[in-house]
Amino acid sequence: MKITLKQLIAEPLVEILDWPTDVWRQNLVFEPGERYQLDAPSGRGKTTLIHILCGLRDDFSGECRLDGRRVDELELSQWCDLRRQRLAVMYQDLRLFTDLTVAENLALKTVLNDAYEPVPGVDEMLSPLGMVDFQQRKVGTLSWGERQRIALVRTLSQPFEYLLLDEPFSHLDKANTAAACELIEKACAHRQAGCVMTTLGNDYPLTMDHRLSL
Amino acid sequence: MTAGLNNAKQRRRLLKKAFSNSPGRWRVWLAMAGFVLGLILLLGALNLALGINRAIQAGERHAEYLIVNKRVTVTGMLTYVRPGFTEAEIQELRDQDFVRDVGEFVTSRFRVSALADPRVSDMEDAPAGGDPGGFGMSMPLYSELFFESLPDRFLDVDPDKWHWDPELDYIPIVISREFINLYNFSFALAQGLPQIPESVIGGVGGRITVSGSGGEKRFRARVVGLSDRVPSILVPREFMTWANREIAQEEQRRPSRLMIKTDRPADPEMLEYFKNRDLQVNSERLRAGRIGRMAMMGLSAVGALGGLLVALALFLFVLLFRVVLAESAERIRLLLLLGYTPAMLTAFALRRFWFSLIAIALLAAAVLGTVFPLVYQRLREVGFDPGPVFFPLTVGAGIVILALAGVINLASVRRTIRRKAEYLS
Repeated sequence: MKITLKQLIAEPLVEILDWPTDVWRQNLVFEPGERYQLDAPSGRGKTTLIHILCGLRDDFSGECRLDGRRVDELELSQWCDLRRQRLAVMYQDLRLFTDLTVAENLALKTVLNDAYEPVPGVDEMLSPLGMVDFQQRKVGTLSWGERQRIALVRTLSQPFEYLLLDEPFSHLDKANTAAACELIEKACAHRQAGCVMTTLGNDYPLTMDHRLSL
Repeated sequence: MTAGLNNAKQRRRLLKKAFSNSPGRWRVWLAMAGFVLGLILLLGALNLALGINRAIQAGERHAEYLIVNKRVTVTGMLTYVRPGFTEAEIQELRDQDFVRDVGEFVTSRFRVSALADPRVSDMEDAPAGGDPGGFGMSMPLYSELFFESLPDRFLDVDPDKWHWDPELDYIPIVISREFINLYNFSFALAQGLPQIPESVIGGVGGRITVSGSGGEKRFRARVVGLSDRVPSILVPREFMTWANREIAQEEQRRPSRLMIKTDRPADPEMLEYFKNRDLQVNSERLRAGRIGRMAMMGLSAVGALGGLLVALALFLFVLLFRVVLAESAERIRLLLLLGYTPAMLTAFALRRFWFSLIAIALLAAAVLGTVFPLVYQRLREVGFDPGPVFFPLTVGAGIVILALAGVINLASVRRTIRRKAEYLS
C-alpha cells in the first residue's frame, strides 16, 4: 500500500502551524514496505495524522490517498475492509474493551479473518511481553502498560500492508519496549508491510527507513 | 469451512459478550412482555370471533320460519284499531337480506263453529276401519273457532291432502301440534276427557258451520296434519279467500301476522331490524343472535385492545432496540475500528432481534396453546361450540404481525447502525 499526502493540513493545525515540518502542507509519499518514524513533541498532530490515515477524521484540507484513492471518498464499509485486511492501527488511547478479558479482546480481532494465522502467533507475542498469564484477566483490571502490550498484540494479529503505530511504547519499560520492537520487526518483515510510527522523538531498537519530523 | 463456521459462531459469541453489559436490556424484555400480551389478546379475540362467527353461520344453513307481528298496545285495545302490515312494510321486509320469503296470514272474518260428533264422522266420513267411538268421542264436542290461512309453500304438511274443492262441502284443516298437546296434557286431564293419540288425529272429523253477512254454510272437516311451524288453525288459502268474500262479504284487511322464511335466523342485523320497528318475533334463535352480537362486541373491544397493545409494544420494542443500540454507540464505533463492517453488526443485531421475535412467537403460542383448549372445553361444556382451537386465519394473522414487526425493526436497526457509523467516516 502506498500512502500519498499532498498539501495535507488538519483543520486544528491550520491556525497554529508555525514550525518546520516534513509532513503538514508538504507533498509526501509513504512508500509500500518502507518504515517511517515521525517525531514530534505534543500538540503537533501525531494522533490527528494517524486518525486521518485510518479514516477516523476528515477535517483536513489538501489530499490524502491510500493507493491513489482519496480517504475522504472511502465508504464506511470500505474503511472497515481496510482496517480488517490491509491497515493495522494501534491507537494511542488503545481502544480496548475494558469489560472483556484479554483473550476476548484478542479474539474479537482474530475471528475477523477466517483461517488467518498471524506471524508471529498470538501466544508467541504474549510470551515475550510477559502477558501469557493475563489472558483471563479483564482488561479493566490491567495497568496502562499492560494494556498497551495487549493493544499491540491485537494490532499485530491481523493481516496488514501498512502498520500505523501511535506512540506505541509510551508506557513500556526498556525490556518490554525491546520485546515489542522485535515483534513489530518480525510482523512487518513477514508481511513485507510498511509502517508509520509516531513518537515523541525517542530512539527505539527498531529499524526505520526514514525519520521525519511532524 | 468448519474453521469459518466456528469463527462465525465465535464472533457472535464475542459480540454478544461485547454488548452484554450494555444498559437498557430489561426495558427490551418489558417491551417483549407487552408484545406477547398484546399478541395473545389480539389473536385470542380473533380466534374466538372466528369461532362465534362460524357457529352463527352454521345455524344459518337451515332455513327457519319466524312469525312476526306488531305489538298490541293498550291504545289499540281501547280503540279497536288492529295493527296490520301495509303493502309497503311487507315489501320492505321482503327486501331485507335476511329474508328469503314472506307469507301473509289471512284471518277469517266470518264466524266458525265446529261440532266434533262421532255420529257425524261415522255416517259420512269415517276413515277405513276407524272407530271414532274407540277414542271415546261419544259426546259431541262443540266449539267456536277461527281460521287462518297461509300460502301453501309455508306449510309443513303433505300438499296432496291440502286442497279445497269448491264443488265439495269438505275442508281440510291443519292444526298446531301444540293444540293437541295442550288438549291431551292439560285440558283432557282436567276435564276427564280421553287423550287423543296423534296417529288417529286424521280420523277426527266434524261439522264446521261458517256464517256471516253472506249467509251460512256447512262443511265436513278433517284434520289432515299437525304443524310444528304454525301455532294456528289453518285452512287452504282458496277456501279462506272464498269464504271471506262470499260469507263474510268483507274487503281484505291488512294482515296482522306475517311468516318469514330466513336462512340467517341468528343474524344480529335481523334482530336489530325487528327491534327498530317494534316487531315481535317468536324465535329462540334470535336470542342466540343477540348473545352472539354481544360476544362479538366484547371480542371486538378485546381485539382492539390487543391490537393497540401490539402496536404500542411494537413501537416500544423498536424504539428500545434503537435505544440499546444508541447506548452501545461507543462499542459499535470500536468494533467498526477493529474492522467489523456495518453489515456484520446489523446481521448480529438482527439475529438477536429475530431470536427475540421467535421467543415472543413461541411464548404467545405456548400461552394460547395452553389456555385456549381449556377455555374452549369450558365453552363446549356450556353448550357453545367455538370451532377449532386455532383457525388458520389466526395463525396467519400472528405470522403477519410478527413479520411486520421484523420488517419494521430491520429498517430501524439498519438506519441506527448507519447513523452511528456516519460519525466515523
